[in-house]
Order: sequence, then structure tokens, then C-alpha cells
Amino acid sequence: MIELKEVRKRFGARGVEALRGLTLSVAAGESVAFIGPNGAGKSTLLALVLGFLHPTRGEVRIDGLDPRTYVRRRGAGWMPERLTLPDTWRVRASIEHFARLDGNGPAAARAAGRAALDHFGLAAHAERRASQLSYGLGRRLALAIATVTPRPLVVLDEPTDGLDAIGRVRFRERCAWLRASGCTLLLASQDLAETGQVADRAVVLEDGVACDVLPLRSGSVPSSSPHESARTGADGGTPGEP
Amino acid sequence: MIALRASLLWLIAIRRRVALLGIFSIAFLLAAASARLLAGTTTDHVDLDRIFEVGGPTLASAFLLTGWAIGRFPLLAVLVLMAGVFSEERASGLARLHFARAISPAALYGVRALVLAGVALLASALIMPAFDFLLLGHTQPGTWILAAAWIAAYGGLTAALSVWTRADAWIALLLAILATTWNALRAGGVLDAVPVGARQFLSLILPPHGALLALETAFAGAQPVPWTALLDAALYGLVVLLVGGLTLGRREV
Repeated sequence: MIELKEVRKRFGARGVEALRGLTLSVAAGESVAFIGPNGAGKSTLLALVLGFLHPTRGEVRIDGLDPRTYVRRRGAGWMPERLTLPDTWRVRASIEHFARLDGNGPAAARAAGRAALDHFGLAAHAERRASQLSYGLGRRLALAIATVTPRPLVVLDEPTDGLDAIGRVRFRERCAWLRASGCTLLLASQDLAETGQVADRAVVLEDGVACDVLPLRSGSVPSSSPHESARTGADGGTPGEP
Repeated sequence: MIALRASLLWLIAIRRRVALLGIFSIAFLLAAASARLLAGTTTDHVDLDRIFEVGGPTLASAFLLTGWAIGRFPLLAVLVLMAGVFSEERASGLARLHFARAISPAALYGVRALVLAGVALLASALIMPAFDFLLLGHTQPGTWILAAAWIAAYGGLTAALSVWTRADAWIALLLAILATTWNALRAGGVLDAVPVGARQFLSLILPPHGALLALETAFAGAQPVPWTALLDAALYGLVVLLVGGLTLGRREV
């Protein structure tokens, strides 16, 4: 589904080269986690896959299409590392707004919004302004917006950052639901313990290069991984239906 | 329809700016009402000589400046409303959430720009005749055509600039000042020594103040509307808006 060939990305003529010749394939329905320290190039990689950025060299293709063309035709789920919404937007209205942009009619958008609010434990905060949510609740809202309508491609940047134990369970359940729907999942994280629960494999990025690939069976994490997060106290649990 | 709904959400998000524009409009009308109270005549128009007698050259200058500024109200409205029409969302990261959806960003932000232009036109169509009525004792029919010309030219320009820079409205204002000066120099024959190609190029790039001035002159003299001038202004706005839209489709966000 996704093909990256010798992709390089440099910011500015003499700026940092965030990716240095990355080649990668992701099959449809696969779940891949990109693991690495800050500045490894994870977020840049996700931005290139969705066409937000263009490679300086190399090529990115999704189903044979330029990423922006693909996204414009089919849409994608996107969870940014930082979600900033206008301060007048309320939680329910924000989710429904993006559900509408996904092509849902008013009733379907309301239903999808309600389901997302319930699933991520945001129902009690539905009429609050998004900008007034705590960091953790804001992350839940970002997840809700990214996944309110299942898309063939869902891209999540640091999805478990700031989530509490219940939020993490909800995250895993949502990923299981998306995968059951046939979605391809890409996740960037520093938290291998958590993303390892939902990924088929982890690509370890360091300094803009893929330096290792860890095959994972969803639900297991190689304990010897040097990138395993310190947050191993996160609760376990089997993914279920949301 | 979805793009229109998204535009209304944006309009709510910038409600403080809309309110500010409303307050600004009221200040204009209060100035006009004050002038009328001070120097209204039996022939229903404000007498400038009387204003001079009451407040000296300071008051007369303030009155003339207010009158000049109200003629540019559509420019002020469009700059206030259109500032950051795209660049603000690009800076906050919200544009990426929109770009990830199966909807054309050019359509989404294009509709937003049109809605904001519509609000600017509505505000201008209300304020300018009211100001005229207070000062002249009657309204000039078709003032909205003059407002539409300003809004078309500067709405398109500000929206296009927003694709490239966060300083969109400021640069549009700077270009307005440059275009005014350029047009005045050109009309005065000062630029005859400048090569014809360079003159034509700059006249093409800068906002069409020659056309806008022709419209203003026609309205001031109660002459027929110079439709070609209106077309020039609209065409300028449309072309820069299209360039902005095409760039938006390729621009990194």
C-alpha cells in the first residue's frame, strides 16, 4: 500500500536533514510503529506519508498515487502530536465537524461523534471548549477526531503520550477496531511498550535512518529492546470492541 | 455545503475581530453624526467651512481624514476579516487536520475566503450609505459596487498572500500604499523615464488602484459606473486568488 524509496527530507537549503534515504514498504492492513528518540525523523516521516511535506529526494507512493492525491481522494485519519483547535470550538462540535468533513451526513456525523465521545470517555466533557481540556483529555479528543470515521489509512503521532491507564486501554481497543475494519495503521512513538501492543512490527529510526526492524506479534514487546519506554507500568488488557 | 459550514465555524472563531470591525464602524458613524450636529445645514449636508469655524484646521483635518477612511472601509474590512484566512491554521497545525480529509483544501479555504468577502461586502454596504446619509443628507445608489471592487481586489490578494505568509494582511496593506503612490506618480507623468516594460509589469502586479480610482471618481461625480474598471478590479482579485489556490494544492503544510 505504502512505498517509500530512498526518501530524503531536508528542511531549508542548509538545514537539518530529518530523513536520510529511507526505503520502506507497508502492506495494506498492516500496523507499523516507528520508534526512536526525539529528532529521529518519526513525525517528518508521517508528514511525508500524508503529503503534508514533500520529499527533497526520493518518492512516496500510496496505492501508486502521490500522497496528497491519495488523501484527497480517500481521506486519512490523522492524529497530530499537538492538537490546537480554535478556542471557541467545543468537544462534540469539533468531532462532528471532522466527521462531516469525512463525508458523513449530519445524522451519521452526530452518531459517529456520539460513539467517539462515549468510547474515549469524553461524553461528560462534550460541551466544554476543546482548548480548556486537560492535556490527557486533549489527547483523547485528538484520537477521537483521527478515528471518528474509519479510513483505509490511519496515522497517529505519539498517540499514547499523556494518556492515562484507561485512555491507553481505549486506544488499544480503537486500534483493534480499526484493524478489524481493514485499516492500515502507522504510529510514531517513543513508547514501544504501548505501541508494541497494537503493531505488527516496529521500525527503529535513528538520525533519519531506519536502523532496525523489530517483528512484533501484536500484544507482545521484546523486553530486550533498548528503546522500550520506562512507562512499563501501563496496564495490560486484551483489545476488544470499542 | 460542508465547506460553507466549516466557514461559519471559522467566522465564529474570529468573532472578536468581527466585533472589533463593528465597533470601528460605529465610531465612523458617530464621527459623521458629530459632524452633522456641529455643522449640519438647511440643505442637508455637512458644511466644511462651518466645521473649520467651529474647530479650526484640526477638526477640519480630522473630518477629511474620517471621510477619506470611510471610502476605504471595504479595504479595512477585508484586511481585518481575511487576515490569517489560511496562514493562521497552517501555523496552529489545524490545516493538517483539514488536509488529511477527502476534501479539496482549495475548495475549503476558497469558500471561506468568499464567505469572509461576503461579510465584508455586507458590512460595507450598510456602513458606507449610512455615512453618506449623515454627511450628505442622501445615499449614493450603487455604493456597494465600489465596495465590491475593493473587496474583490484585496480579498483575492489577502487570501493568496495567506497561502505564503502569516503577514498576509500587513503585506496587503503595504501593497495598497505602494499601489496608491505608484498610481499617483504614474498619473502625474513622473514615471515616464521608467522603461515601459517595467511600468507595465509593476502595474500588473500591484493592486489596480487606477481602476479603483476611476470607480471612486465616477461615484463622486454621480457619473455612470465604469464597468471596465470594475471588471479590472474583479479580474485582478480572481487571478491572484487562483494563483493562491493552485499554490495551496502544492504547498507544504
